[in-house]
Amino acid sequence: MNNVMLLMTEATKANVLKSLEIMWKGLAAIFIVIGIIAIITFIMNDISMRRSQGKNIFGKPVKNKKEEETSEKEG
Amino acid sequence: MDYLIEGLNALTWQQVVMWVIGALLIFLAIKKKMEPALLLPIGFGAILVNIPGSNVLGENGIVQWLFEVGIEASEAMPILLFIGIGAMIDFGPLLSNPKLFLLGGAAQFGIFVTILIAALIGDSVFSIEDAASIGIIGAADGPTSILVAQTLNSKYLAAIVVVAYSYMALVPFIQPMVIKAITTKKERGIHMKYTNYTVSKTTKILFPIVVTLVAGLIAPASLALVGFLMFGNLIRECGVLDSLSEAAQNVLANLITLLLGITIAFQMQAEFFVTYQTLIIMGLGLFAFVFDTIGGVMFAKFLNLFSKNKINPMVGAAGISAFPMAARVVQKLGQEEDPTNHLLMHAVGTNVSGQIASAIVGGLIIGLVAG
Repeated sequence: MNNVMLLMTEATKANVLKSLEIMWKGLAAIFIVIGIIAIITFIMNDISMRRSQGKNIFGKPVKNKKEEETSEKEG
Repeated sequence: MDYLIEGLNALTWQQVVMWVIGALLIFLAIKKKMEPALLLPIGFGAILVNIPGSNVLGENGIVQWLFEVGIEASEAMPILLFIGIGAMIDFGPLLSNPKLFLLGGAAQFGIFVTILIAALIGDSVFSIEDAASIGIIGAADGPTSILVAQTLNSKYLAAIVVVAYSYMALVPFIQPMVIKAITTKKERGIHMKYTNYTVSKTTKILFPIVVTLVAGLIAPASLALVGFLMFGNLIRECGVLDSLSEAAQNVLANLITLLLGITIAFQMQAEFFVTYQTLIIMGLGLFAFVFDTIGGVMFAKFLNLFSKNKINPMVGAAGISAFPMAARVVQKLGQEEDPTNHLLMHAVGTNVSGQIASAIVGGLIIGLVAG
């Protein structure tokens, strides 16, 4: 690797080092962005699934307001 | 009578070569149906701008004006096209299995490897801006390639765009060879369970806003691309702008596509295009597509080391954003191994993840190179 680098001009060497920097920073950034979006999507899906099952975000059943109101009136 | 042959006398062999290239692009568009919406206007434009004394160029030339206003000054055309693309995409298959996001990210690997290889060729051939613009061919996304090459002021814009669109059309030929070379028959036969989970409307509406916020905060240079892509998707999913969504998917996308090809042809003037660098760019473009595919497949294999529910590694290859060809390739290869294996929904999810990832990477590269 060192021999290859010695054969390069200074400008090429600088370009290669810059491209390596782009590679690691770019790959790190894309996985961070994508990872955060994936986690938020997991959470959104989980919340909507719980809500469709009639539970709140902590997994506890949500009281149905309409039912409560109806039972109060009947009572 | 000399004035009648003035044009003929001014003709150079390089311009004739460009006519042949233009005719070839028109042939591929019509006969082989390779990305006809782009290759046909680009092919015709290549002929148009290479006629000596062509008045579509110059200060008052219409093609030059379109280029200067629509691409050079503001990159408006590729960015506006993203509204249409966003309105066309259904992120449902991706939202129902967010793990697929990671495969879309991994399939951008080829972009970075290609930048490195282009830089290694030497600064006398490609500057770092050119190398980065060539690498973005691996995004398999025309508007992103145009935006990056133009923003970084690469003199190879036309070659990059023509190569990007040509290889996108060749995905059904390139990817199967690469996938078969790096996967075993057993791996290609892995079945993936598809849970028919319906994503809520709220999630679909919140998703484009969340993506814009996250991408904008971490990679602000990607906001123009990601923001407009997500704006188009929000119009689609909100449910109250159906006519605008339809206009974005059809009228806007078609109108810009119509003008984009012929506008790009401005850069196809013989003196810029008929160079040995164009041939090198063709080679590097292929390299980018191959390494994108390898990146996606290998990352799927890596995830399988820790996952109970195995991913068919071929699905990783759909992470390049060539939509929907890459997903179709994976489905077809899966069915070749086992006709009962249905990978399409997983592949589509990965494919749309690749759309988002390539737009983000485009912005990141602009930020990293220019910044």
